[in-house]
Amino acid sequence: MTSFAIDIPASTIARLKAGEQAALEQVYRLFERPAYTLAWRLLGDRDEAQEVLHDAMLALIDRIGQFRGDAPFWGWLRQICVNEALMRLRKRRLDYVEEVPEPEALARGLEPAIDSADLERALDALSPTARSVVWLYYVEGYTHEEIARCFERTVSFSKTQLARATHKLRELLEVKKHHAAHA
Amino acid sequence: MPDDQTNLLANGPPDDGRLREALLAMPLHSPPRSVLPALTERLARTRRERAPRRWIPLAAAAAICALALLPFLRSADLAAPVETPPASIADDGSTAALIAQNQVFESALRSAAFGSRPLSARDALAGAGIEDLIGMLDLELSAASDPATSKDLWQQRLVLLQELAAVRASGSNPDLTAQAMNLPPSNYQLN
Repeated sequence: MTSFAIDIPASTIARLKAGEQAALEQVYRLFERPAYTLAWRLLGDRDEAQEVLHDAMLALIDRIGQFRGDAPFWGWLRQICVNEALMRLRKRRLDYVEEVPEPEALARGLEPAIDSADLERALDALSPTARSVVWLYYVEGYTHEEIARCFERTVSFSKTQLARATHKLRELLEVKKHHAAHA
Repeated sequence: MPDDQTNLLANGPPDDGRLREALLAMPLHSPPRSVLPALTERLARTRRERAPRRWIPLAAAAAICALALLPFLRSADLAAPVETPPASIADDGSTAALIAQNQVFESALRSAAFGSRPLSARDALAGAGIEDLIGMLDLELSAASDPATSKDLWQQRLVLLQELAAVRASGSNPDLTAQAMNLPPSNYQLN
């Protein structure tokens, strides 16, 4: 389950709506790392992830009055983070059908043994859009319809991006394993 | 990456489920610096900006309703005596004083002078709305741990009680309202 799935008592949300600083600190400390990690995964850039964390938390203060409690608070806050991150992706004017590097070419730069950085590097090798789709689908549990809405694209776009990115990730990890076996 | 995750990937190309598990097992990262100071500053600024906008109409309403409430506190024909603030309640703006003033208004509103008078549908609706707001404030008060927040909530509650008194007074007893405004009673006839 996503690291964002942290239930917050209704009393804490009421205190947050009332502008109580202690409640804000409590919520911030709970969601600081999930929000930062999510932004980092989507953007692939630590500095931009820091800015997304900042902007998303400010948006939380500004919009908490609009939270009605129909859905879990963590899902509401996560969507704010996703929107902030994807807005930055759109500003980069990325080509949504951007191709990722060939696995063989990428594998030459990898260490011979599988280590803790393999999956990290494989993710980094994906385009920001493909990586975002992978992360939202596999980790955050978004549906293709929800991903399509986030990117303002079609469901087919989400499915295609996920299929391609999953294939590339498998290839990258398989090539890495193959190289490790023959080292 | 944990050993079990390394083994998971080393055992072969992951299927979707394995890929999901591997991704979920990736560690969380901490930001290089906390943004909490910026949030605290924004929160304080937001509260300052909202405060004047909220208090101007409430203060005006409080002034009007204070006029309307005056006859109820002084009238000799009240069915039940109305409590008046004891001499020890100083209007010094402290939380204790605000709580005491809340109690005085609640006593006045519970008295027969308010409770037995008929209300128009519009006034009854307005009164019910204010009572709902008071109920919400009571909920917030029960959860408030910060003294400043509590004081702010008691102040808001007092204003709402004053508004409620004004609604009940002005809508149901035009004579008393008129008396408060130095106007002749409704059955006054010109010769």
